[in-house]
Amino acid sequence: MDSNHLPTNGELVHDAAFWWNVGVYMYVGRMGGNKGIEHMLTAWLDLRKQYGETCPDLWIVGGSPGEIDTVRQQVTFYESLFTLERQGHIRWWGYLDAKGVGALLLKALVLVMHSSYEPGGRVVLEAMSQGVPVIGTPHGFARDLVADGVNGFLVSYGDAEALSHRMSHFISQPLLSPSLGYAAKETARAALASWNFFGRHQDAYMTFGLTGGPPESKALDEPLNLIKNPLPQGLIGRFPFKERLPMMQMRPVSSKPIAARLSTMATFRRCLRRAVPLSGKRTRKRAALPSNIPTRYLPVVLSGTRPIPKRYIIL
Amino acid sequence: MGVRQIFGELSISQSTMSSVKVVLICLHADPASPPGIGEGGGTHSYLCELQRLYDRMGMPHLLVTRRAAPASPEYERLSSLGELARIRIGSVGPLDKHQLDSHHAETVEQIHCTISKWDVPTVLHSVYWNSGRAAAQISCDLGIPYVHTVISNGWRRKITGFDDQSPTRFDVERAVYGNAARVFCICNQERQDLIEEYGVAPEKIEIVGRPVAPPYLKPCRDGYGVPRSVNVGRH
Repeated sequence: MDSNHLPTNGELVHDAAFWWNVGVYMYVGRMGGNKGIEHMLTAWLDLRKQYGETCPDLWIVGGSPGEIDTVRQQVTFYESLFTLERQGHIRWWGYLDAKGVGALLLKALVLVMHSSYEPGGRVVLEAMSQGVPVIGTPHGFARDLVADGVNGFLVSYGDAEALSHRMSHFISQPLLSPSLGYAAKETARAALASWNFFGRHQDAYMTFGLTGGPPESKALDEPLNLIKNPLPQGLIGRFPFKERLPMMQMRPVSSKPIAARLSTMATFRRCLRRAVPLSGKRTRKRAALPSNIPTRYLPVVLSGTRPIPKRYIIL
Repeated sequence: MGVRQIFGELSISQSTMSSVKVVLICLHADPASPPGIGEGGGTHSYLCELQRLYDRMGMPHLLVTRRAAPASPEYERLSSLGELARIRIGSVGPLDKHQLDSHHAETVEQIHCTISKWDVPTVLHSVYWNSGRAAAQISCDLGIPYVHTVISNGWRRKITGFDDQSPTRFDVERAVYGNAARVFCICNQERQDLIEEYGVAPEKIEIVGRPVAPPYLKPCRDGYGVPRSVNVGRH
């Protein structure tokens, strides 16, 4: 291969030295009708006709076997699809958990998300977090995070020709995916930091759970006429909470939260580590066992996965 | 990957949060269902993420959803602090989420009954509009606040071409968002819709986005930073 010539993806396929660098187009999500799977397949088949063996494979993740079969039977070009499936160029992976999807994304050139509407579309965020660029429709996270030509591309729903054109960039420019992917990862990292998902929820619970909420939340007047129905007769007078059924009886005996209990155990373990060796010279510092550790934790700790060496004693 | 990397910095202590008891109502999504099959999607993952937060903060919580499969038990313990109750709305089996609204009275009755067996909640959290309607009603009955997570709004769906919605959805949504103590949405487009189309006060809206699971942040490493074996196809 000429050293001044960047290999195209097709050349990479046939060069055994670069087999590991060959990526795939990837879709992750449900097999719903609004997900644009048929448009994506149309765009990919166009590319396949245009580029032949050079065209990267298509991996589709999600759905149960029945749902996948329904989608396959609905497309009008079923015959050509079937042939390419048998050759291994289209793979339907079915449902995979986060570890599985994360592993497959390592091979992805680009994630294709072609939904007619997405309130968020978390796969966009997941792919970008992993450094995979996205070709998406302008909804949800794709609309907020994807910048054309910077970390992916935006395509209008139903425009298979434009989608095919954007997908073709990744064939003709083998370094495009890592380049856009790097920017995608930075974008996702900044977005996650600014959202502070857990912190914002926690603040809301703290504010309204302890104070009872802002005044307007209690003014359930006119707009709620639509919502407010009287309680059924059988239920009136039963509240608040006269019945205590088995659900409560299954709660743990200790009312102390598990995290607090674990914290106590961590303190106890630290004390064990600082316990004085019998035969050693370091006998000046003696760690005292905190008095607030109940004795019922001892068997738990002593039978834990980390064995306590015999030469140590607890003082 | 450490717990701090997943959750970020949490500002309030666990002992303070343990007095907050949450009832999370999401009628159409069962957190035990995997995302990517059937109706399982982002909402299912969202419930799991909230449940992780509650456990992390030591908050007792009860998740209420609809029992959609006979094989699913009516009650499950999720953790030492978390419980999942599947209530019966209509017959046990699949039900289009857009039809849940027509079972409103039955839903409210069932949730009241479930809460009465649990504990006295301090805050309700509803996800999706028909759950919001139930939460608004229960909030009013019990005199406790509710917060609401939108996850797609009727107005946007309508202009995008979906015609499978309940005719009362827009009005119910307006009331639910208007009376919620706080409204969570996941992206800017949704926030804009809430302000312009539903008249929600901007200061009440929080864009919370979504967290990302550790396998996507460090796909080659496990939770301890050790290279992991990839188990695609073995679940």
